[in-house]
Order: sequence, then C-alpha cells, then structure tokens
Amino acid sequence: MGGKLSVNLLLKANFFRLWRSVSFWATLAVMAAVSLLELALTAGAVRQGVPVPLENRYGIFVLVSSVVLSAFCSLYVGAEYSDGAVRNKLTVGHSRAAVYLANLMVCAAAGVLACLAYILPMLAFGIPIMGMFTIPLASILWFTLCGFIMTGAMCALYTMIAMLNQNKAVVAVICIFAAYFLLFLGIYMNSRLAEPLMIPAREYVENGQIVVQEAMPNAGYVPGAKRKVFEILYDLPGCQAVELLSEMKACPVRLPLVSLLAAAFSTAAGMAVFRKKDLK
Amino acid sequence: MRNLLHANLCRLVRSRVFLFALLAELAYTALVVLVCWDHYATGTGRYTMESVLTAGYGLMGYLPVPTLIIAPMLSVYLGTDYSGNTLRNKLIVGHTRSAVYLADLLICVLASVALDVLYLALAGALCVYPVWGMSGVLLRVPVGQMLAWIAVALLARAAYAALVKLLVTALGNKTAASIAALLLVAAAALVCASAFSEIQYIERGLAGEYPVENGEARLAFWRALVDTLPTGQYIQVSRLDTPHLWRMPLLSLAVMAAGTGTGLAVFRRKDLK
Repeated sequence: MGGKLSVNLLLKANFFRLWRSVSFWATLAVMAAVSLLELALTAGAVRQGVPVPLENRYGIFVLVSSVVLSAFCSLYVGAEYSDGAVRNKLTVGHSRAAVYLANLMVCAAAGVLACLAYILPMLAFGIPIMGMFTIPLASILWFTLCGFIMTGAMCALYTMIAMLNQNKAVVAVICIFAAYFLLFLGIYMNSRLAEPLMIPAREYVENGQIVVQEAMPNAGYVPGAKRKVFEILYDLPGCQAVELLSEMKACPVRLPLVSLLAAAFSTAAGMAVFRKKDLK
Repeated sequence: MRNLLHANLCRLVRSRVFLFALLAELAYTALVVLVCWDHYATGTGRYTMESVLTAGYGLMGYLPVPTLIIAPMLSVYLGTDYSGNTLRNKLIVGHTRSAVYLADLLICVLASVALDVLYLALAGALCVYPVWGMSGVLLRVPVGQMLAWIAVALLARAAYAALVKLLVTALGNKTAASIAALLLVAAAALVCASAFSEIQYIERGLAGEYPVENGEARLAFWRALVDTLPTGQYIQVSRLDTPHLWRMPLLSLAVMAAGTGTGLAVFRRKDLK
C-alpha cells in the first residue's frame, strides 16, 4: 500500500514538473511543426494534381517521435540529477524503484502526447486536403497503437540511459545517436530484406540488338542465418518504425510484443543498475 | 590570440569528446572501407574513387554521417567553456571578446577539417586496390573536378563550424547546444531530401512531362537553398551532382561571414555572469 502511494505521489510531482517543462512544450511544438510542414508540402503536391493518400503522411510520426523524444527524455530526466531532485526524493523515503518507474511513466506519457501533437493537426488539416484514409480504419487504429507502444519502448530505453548517467550533455548525445542509429539501421535492414531471391528475366536493346537476359540469382539477397539476424534486428524498437510504415495495412502482432519485451528488459536492467548506483 | 589558439588546441586534443569523435570517424571510415572490400570480393560493385572519397560527406547521398559526429564534438567542446567558466577567465586576463570568439572558431574549423582529411587519407589509401580491381580505373571524372569537390566540401565544413559556434554562443549551454546541433543536422538532411525531390519534380515538369506553376522561380529557390546550406552542399558532393559548383564556395564564405558576424555581435553583448 505504502509503495503504491509513494509512486502516486511521485507521479503527481513528475506530471506537475512536466506541465511546466519548456522541453516538453518544445517537443510538442516540434512534432506539430513537422506535421504542419508535411501538410504544406503535401498541399503543394495535391494542388499540382498528384494524389497523396492520407496514411502516407499520417504514419510519419513513428519516425519523428523516436528522435525528438530522445532529446526530451534526456533533458527531463537529466534535470532531476542536475537539480538534486533524485537525491531529495530518496531522502524523503521513496524507493529507487519508485523513482525510476515514475520517471519512466511520465516519459512514456509525454511520448504518447508528442505523437498526438503530430496526429491531431495531420487529421484536422490532412482530411480536407487529402481526403479520408484509403486503408481500413481498423488498420490505422492498430498501426497507431503499435506506434504508441514502440514510442513507449524507446522512452524506456532513453529513461534507462538517462537514469544511469548524471551528465545531461552526454546522455543527450547518446540518446540522439541511439535514435539515429536505430532509425538508419531500420532503413538499411528494410532495403536489404527487400532484395528478391532471383532477378527476373528481362529483354533490353544494346547496340541495336535485342538482348535476352535469363533469370538469375540476386547477389544482394540475404540468405540463411544472416537473414534471421537481420529480421531480428529489423523488429527492434526504433528499427521497427520503418517496418510499421511499410506494413501499415496489417502490422504484425509480434512488433508490439517485441517493443513490450524490449521495454521490460531495458527497465529491469536500468532498475537493477540504478539500485546500486552511487548518487553522490 | 596565439596564446588562445595554443590553449584551445591543447584543450581540444586532451578532451574526451575529441577522442570519441576521432574514434567514431575511424569507425565510419572502417565501415566504408569494409563495404568497398566486400563489394570487390563479391563482385557486386562498379564504382570508382570519387564515390569512396565523397562518402566522407554523406553516406548513400542522403545521410551526412560525419556531420553527426562533428556536431556533438563541437558543441560539447565549446559548451565546456561556458560550464567551466573558462570564458570569464580568458576575459579577466585581458583577451578581447572578439579574440576569444575567433580563436574558438579557428580551432573548430581546424578540428572539423582535420577529421575530414583523416577520412580522405585513410579511405583513399585503403580503397585504391579494391576500386582498381572492381572497375579497372580509379577515377571516372577529371582529377581537377575531384579536387574541386573536396575543396568545396571542406569549405562547407568550415561554414558549418561557424554555424555551430554561433549556435553555442546563442544558447550558452552545452546540453542545449548539443541537442540543437544534432537535431538541426537531421532537420537539414530532411529539408535537403525534400528539396531534391522538389527539384527533380520541377525539372521534369519544365522538360514538358507535366505542367508546373512558377517552375523557374521555384526551381531557383530550392537550388539556392541546397547550395546555401552546408548539409545541402555535402549531399550534393556525395551524390557527385553539383550543377552550380562555382557558387557553392562563395555561398559557404557568405554563410561563414554572416554566422561569424552575428556570433560576434551576440557574444559582445552576452552577459557571462
């Protein structure tokens, strides 16, 4: 009972700090600005007669949120160390696990709000510009849920990094690099796994002669165990943003499960190290 | 000024952030070299040295990876001056604000260009053999063209260093400057990617494939944007596609002058507490 009350008090204090945090509002502003920028670029294309499905623009929040939240989480959690708030919380009797979990919950909540800061302007202005979604609404809702869960998993990773290092600048650099690395890894995995097994037969004209090229094995195809490793990496939170976008119509159930597993693992590891950490 | 330069250089060489940047640059170089040797071994590549050397400015024509290494290095290095109060100490012992600013800027330019030169030297030396084996030729463009690309990109790097110095001066905080510098690199890369697709679309429209409104004016705007932004210049060089090569160094010099002028003006009025 006491433990639960402790987390509630911490959550109340953390949310109080969140609403007053400049970095939180800056995060929401950046997400909304990216949404409006996408809308402006799309409006130009639509005016030129190029049809753009709403879902193509809607889904981009999964790519942007991981990068923007890496900065937010490092600033928000890092401020606890620089202001001595972590030590104060422990001094008044909160457990280390409660302090950790309260920070994680607030970062995850901020992550979902950041996604909504992208989604709401996109829906409000995107539907009049691009029309309704061209894929079933159920697919969009499932994709959105998967996106929220992946964002939560990324926040768990950033919280772990921020709780284990007291240098705010270093944490910020590590978190942003982690976000970029996972995103670029996802783009790379997507391109490698999309390579077909065989290059189909084709005909082309060379020096006025019709040349027939038989179907042949594709040297770029990733086979065997290497493919399995690539598929596992592709499912990691951050990387899976690219997979979610490319399989928006029917996002595989394993993706949110992998995100939840990754969040549980990083939280357990972070809490284990934080329990023994010297807070000076 | 010479004392400041010497002190700054010593601090940079001894700093952990420079060591990490150096290791990251070496790791990136190793990645490019390994991929090149892998292409040679599997017979899946047909490129020449210009592709290898310009990958030091952008990977696959989209990702300015070395800029992502340089951005946090410069912002943490410069920001430490604020958090360690060394700026105030430098002024107390009699250096002018302009001298302090310019000494910092020179060291930043030197460090950024040095990392680029390190990449060029190592990747150039280690990829000659596989490139020769793959293509039977080292360069498909004249040597002068290759040198012009490298010179333009190095000047763009100097302009980028001037912009980071301005950012750190304006924010005056190591963490905020690191975050802003890293996010701005990604933002600039995204803006450039959009600009390149717009340019391609407008050019096809102007060629008569479909009608475009104000095609000439819009094309001039997007071209000016990618030619002015240092990230736009790196990406153009890494794509080996620089239609306005002659004006890119001029724009880099203009960006450097504007960035340094603004930075000096901000720094002269800044309250250093």
